Amino acid sequence: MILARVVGQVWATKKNPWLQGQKLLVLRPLTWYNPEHHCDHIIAVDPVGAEVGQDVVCCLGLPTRWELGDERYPVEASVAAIVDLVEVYKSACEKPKFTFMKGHKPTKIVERD
Amino acid sequence: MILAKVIGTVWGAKQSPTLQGRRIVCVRPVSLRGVKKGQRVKSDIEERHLMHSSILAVDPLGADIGQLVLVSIGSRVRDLVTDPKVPTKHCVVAIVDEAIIE
Repeated sequence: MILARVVGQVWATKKNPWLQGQKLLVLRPLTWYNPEHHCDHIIAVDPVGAEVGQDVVCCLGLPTRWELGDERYPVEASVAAIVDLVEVYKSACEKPKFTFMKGHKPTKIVERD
Repeated sequence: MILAKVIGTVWGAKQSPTLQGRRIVCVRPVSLRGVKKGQRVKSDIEERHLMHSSILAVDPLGADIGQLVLVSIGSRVRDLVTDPKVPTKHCVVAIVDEAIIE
């Protein structure tokens, strides 16, 4: 799972029948992740009801289909939760160094020592 | 899944028997860098908003050249969209009308 921000929405008419009636969101990852293809966005199915501007937890890979409730969904990214608050302990971020991606930080973040 | 633009189709006279007859499209992923707030990303997206790399994806929907598509990545997705024997990891799952970046 990764942290990501919702930056937009996608509309498509011709699509796989499993995607019918599903909300598709454009997400921008806030933490480093390793996709199979280097790209600065992810399109995720949204069963939770997130809105543009919110930070979300994005599920990647097989667990996505468990979360959606059926293993036959042809997707590999979905929104699992809407983030209220991120708590980061500075001491735990030093070794190994942990940072959010340049210019991308969660909107509600508390940094503790 | 990623947004990508179809830039061409691939034809091969001699194909692997598992690939026989399937439509293969060449796509370039969209890069959100430089996309302004409120911009509608449609099939007329400028070339500077596309990544330099390109990928080949199996296309069961029949997307035309120039259209924006949603490409799903992974072997399990390939099993579900096409056939487990198809030698690819990238599949087109939707043809995108527009995406609004806010």
